[in-house]
Amino acid sequence: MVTKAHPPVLRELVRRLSKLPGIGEKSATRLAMFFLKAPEEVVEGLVENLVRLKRDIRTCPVCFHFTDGALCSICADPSRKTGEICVVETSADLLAIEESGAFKGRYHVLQGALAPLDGIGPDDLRIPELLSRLEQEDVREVILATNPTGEGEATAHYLAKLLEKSPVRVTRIASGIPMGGDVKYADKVTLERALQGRRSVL
Amino acid sequence: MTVVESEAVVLCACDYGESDRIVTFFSLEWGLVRAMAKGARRSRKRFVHAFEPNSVVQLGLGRRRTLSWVESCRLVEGHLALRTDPLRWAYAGLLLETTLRLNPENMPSPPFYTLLRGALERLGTDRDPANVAALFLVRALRILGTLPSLERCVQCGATIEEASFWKLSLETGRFSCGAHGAAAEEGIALDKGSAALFQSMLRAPVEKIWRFRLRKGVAADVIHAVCTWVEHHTAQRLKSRRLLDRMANGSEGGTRFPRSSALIPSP
Repeated sequence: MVTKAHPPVLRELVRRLSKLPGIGEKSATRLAMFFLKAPEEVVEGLVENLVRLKRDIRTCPVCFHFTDGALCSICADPSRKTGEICVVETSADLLAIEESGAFKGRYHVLQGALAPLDGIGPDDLRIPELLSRLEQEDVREVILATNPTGEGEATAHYLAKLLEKSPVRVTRIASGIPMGGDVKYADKVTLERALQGRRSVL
Repeated sequence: MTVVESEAVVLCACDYGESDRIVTFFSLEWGLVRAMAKGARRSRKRFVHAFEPNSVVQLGLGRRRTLSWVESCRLVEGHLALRTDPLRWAYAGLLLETTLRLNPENMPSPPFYTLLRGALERLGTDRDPANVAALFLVRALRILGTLPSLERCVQCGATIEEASFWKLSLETGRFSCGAHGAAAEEGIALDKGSAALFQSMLRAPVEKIWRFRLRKGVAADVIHAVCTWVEHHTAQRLKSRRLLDRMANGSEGGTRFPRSSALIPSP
């Protein structure tokens, strides 16, 4: 508990830190005490990093992933020009796929999904930009990697309908039992999808 | 602590803290209920795929005084067909949002639950989602007791058979024949057939109303009028309505509510 015994600067820092996600007052106090004891260069480095984060990070004008340059590292890399575009909801999804190393093409971040209860429609997503990319770039496949939630599915179906008549191949990421998962804990929709999407092992 | 069970429709869910979610259900036993799902974002096994809006679930709720938390939640029906058509998805959003706005918490209403469940089921399969939405909205107002009687003209007492044109005003709560309501600008204009159809639909059991077919313009007028009324009385914009309107504005002809094809922008 922060009391009047704490100097005002420390009190203010604790108050600000406790606004961060997942940080309560106790954790905030612990962090503040760490900064107090830490060498000056550690604190200065962190401050400089935060300032640069706000000043330099913007979205890539091509794929709408975060970048600090004119283009993001993926769009700027010529070896990623494989003719495949993986469409994801958020940059966090992009990072997860990148971490897996399973995809070597380029991405397109929609920055959301269709959500009627939040009033988010097709105009709020980066769909026109995706369509213009398909016209300008040499694309042969669009992989719809939106989440297998109601909103993600609705968005994927909307895009699939939109690209129905375009010459590109439109595919959807598979869904089913996750690796390391347990069949008995899977819900009926997941099991149904997993069985529908089964494939020969020989 | 007591754990009680009921079937419920998931209306919406939002994240809370690091790993929890607050989920709003419309349940058969308790009506609208909000409950905390502890660890819902962390556990892969406990509430898997159970908090998707439009889903029907078997809900186990722990309750103590005014607090409710989700003990168990098993998916019964996912209504996957709604996800395959953005227009149906948007109409489903409208149904959920009006349910959320019109019902007070912890007020059981089995007829409303039957209506909502039936509407979501029908919305996934019916060829005209606007018709399903319009029937749902009118019947919902009747269940909530806010729809005026559609038996006679409120002023002269004429029956449906005695007049060719009718006006239903939700704002003033008036249902009047052409002679006594024609001057009123607001309200839904109905011909004799549509008024009779409304009357029959309101008399029919909730689970059997989906066979009624409103004329195209009437369904759109009903949705518009009910949404306006809901927004006026709750002092809150319906976000799903805004989405439907925006879809319509992008379409040719500028109809108030869109057709499926209207969702695909012209090249």
